[in-house]
Amino acid sequence: MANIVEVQGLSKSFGGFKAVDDLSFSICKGDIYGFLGQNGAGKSTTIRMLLGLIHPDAGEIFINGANFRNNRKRSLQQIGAIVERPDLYGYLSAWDNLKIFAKLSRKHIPDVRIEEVLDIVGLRGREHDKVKAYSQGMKQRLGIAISLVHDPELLVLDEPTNGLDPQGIAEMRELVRTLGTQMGKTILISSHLLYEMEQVATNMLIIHKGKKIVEGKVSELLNPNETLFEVRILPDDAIAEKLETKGWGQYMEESNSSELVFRMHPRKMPGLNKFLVEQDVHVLEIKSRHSLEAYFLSLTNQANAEAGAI
Amino acid sequence: MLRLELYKIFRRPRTYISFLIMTAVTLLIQVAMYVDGTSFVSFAMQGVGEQFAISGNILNGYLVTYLVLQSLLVHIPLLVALVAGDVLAGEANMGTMRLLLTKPVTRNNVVLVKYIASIAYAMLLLVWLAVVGLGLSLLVFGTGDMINLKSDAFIMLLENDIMWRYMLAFAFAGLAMATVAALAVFLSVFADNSIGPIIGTMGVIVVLTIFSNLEIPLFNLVKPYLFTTHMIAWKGFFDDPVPYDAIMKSVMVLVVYIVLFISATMVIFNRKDIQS
Repeated sequence: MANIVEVQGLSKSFGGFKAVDDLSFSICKGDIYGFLGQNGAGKSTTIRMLLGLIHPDAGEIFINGANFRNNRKRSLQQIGAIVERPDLYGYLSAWDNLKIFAKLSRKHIPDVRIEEVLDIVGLRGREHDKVKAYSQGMKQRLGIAISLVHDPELLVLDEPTNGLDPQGIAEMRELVRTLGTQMGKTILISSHLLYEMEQVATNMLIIHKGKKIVEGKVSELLNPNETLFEVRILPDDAIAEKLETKGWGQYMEESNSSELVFRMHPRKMPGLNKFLVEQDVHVLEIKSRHSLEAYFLSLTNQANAEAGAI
Repeated sequence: MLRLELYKIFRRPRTYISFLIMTAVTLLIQVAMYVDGTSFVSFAMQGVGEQFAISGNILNGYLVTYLVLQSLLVHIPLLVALVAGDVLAGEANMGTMRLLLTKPVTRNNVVLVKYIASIAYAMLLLVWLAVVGLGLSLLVFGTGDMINLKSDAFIMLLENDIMWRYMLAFAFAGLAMATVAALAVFLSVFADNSIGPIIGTMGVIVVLTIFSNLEIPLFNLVKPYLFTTHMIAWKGFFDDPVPYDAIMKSVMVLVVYIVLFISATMVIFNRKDIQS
C-alpha cells in the first residue's frame, strides 16, 4: 500500500530544548496509526509540523508524495485535523462552525454533507445550539465533524480523548474505529493512553524525548508472552522457594514476601493461581498490567537509562 | 473568506459595544448642546462677537457634528483597536488559530482578510457616526453656516459649502482608522490574547499624539514622520481654502504606515510557530 505520509529526519528545537530529534516514519493509506509517547515526548510538536503550524528546523514531510513545504495548500486539502483541544467559536452554533471551516477547505460542501457529518459524530439535533453550551465530549465530536466535513483522506487527531469521561472515551474509540474501518480514512491518532491506542491502532510509533523508540504493527508489538501480572498475597517468607520447586520461578520478574510480579502468557495465570492456593498461599489480588504498557515502560525506561549512562 | 471574517466579527456581541459607546457619547454631546449650547457658543465667540456682527443659526447641526468629531478623536481609535487588536490574538486566545491554519489558506491571506475585515468594521463605525453624529445633529439643530474657531483664525463656512467637506473628512478619517487598524493587527501578531494589542495600540497613539502636540524643538524633528500628526489632517477640510497639498502628504504618510505595518505583520506571522 502506498504511503500517504512520509516524514524524513524531522527536528525541532525551542531555545536549547530539542522537542523532536531526527524523527522519520511513514503512514500507509488505510492505517490507523497510533502515535504514542509520554506527555512532553514531542507528539504535538510533530503533529503541528505535519500540519504546517510549526516550522521544522530540519527534515521533510511528504503528503501523498508531494513535499509539504512546496505544496502546503494542496496537502492541507487532503488532511482533516484536531490539534489538542478542538477550540471552536463558542459564540456560534455547531452548524455555523461547520459552515465556516467547510468554506475554508476550498471545496464546495453542500448542507447535506454537513448533516451527514453531524450524523456520523452523533450531534444531529444539537447543531443549532451554541458551542459554548457543549460538553467537552460534544466539542471533541464537533471537532471531528469539522475535520471530516471536506472528506479528507487523512485524519490527524491529536489526543482526541483528552478531558473525556470513560463513556466519552469509549464513544470516541468507536468513532475512530468506524472512520478507519468503515469509511476507509487513514488516521494518525496521538495519545499517551496506551490502552486506548491498543484498542484502535493498526500500526504504532512510540517516541520518547523527541526520538523514535519503536515503530511497527500493533499485532507484532503486542506479545502476549510479555503480559505482566502483579500478585498480592499475605506475607509468606518461603514463597520464592515454593515457586521455584514447580518451575514458576522462571516467569517471576520481582518478588518479596507479599508482592510478586510474573511475565507470562495470560493462559498460564489460572495454573499459577491454582498452585498458589494448593500451597496455602492466601492470594489477595491478581492484577494484569497490559502487555503494551509493560513494553512501553520497558522501552522508555531503557531509553532513560541509556540517556543517563551517556 | 472575507465574508466569513465579517460574519465572525458581527456575530460577537462585543462588536456592538463600540456602536453603543459611540452613540452614547454622541447623544451626550448633542443633549448638552441642546440644553446649554447657546451659552457654549457665546463663550466660544467671546472677542469675535465684538469685531463681527454674527446672525442666523450658529448653533446648528454642522457645528455640533464638528464638536462631536473633535471629542471622539481619541475614542474612535480605541474602538477600532478593540476589534483590530483581536483579529489575530483573539484567534490565538480562543485556540481557533491552529484549526484555522490547518485549512488550505495561506497565512498572508489570513492577515489580509483579517485586516480588510477590521477596516470594514472601522468604516461601519464611521458611517454610524455620520448617521448619529451628522444626521441626528442636522435633524435636531437644523442647518446653517458653520463657524470653525481655530486658535489663530476664525473661519465661516457657508451652509451650502459644508456637506462635501464632511464627506471628505469622513473619508479621510476612514484612512486614519485604517492606519490604527493596521497598527493593532501588527501588535496582534505578537500576542496570544487581545488585551495586549488593544492597550498597546492605544498606548502608541497616546504617546505619539503627545509628541505630535508638544511644541518642543526635539519633537518637531520627528513630528512630520509620526502617523498621529497626520491622522488629524481631516480638520483641513474645514479650512478655507482647503490645504490639499498638506492633506495629500498626510494621505501618503498614512498609506506608507499601513503598508509597513501589514507587510511586517505578514513576515512575522509567516515565520511564527503556532503553539497556542
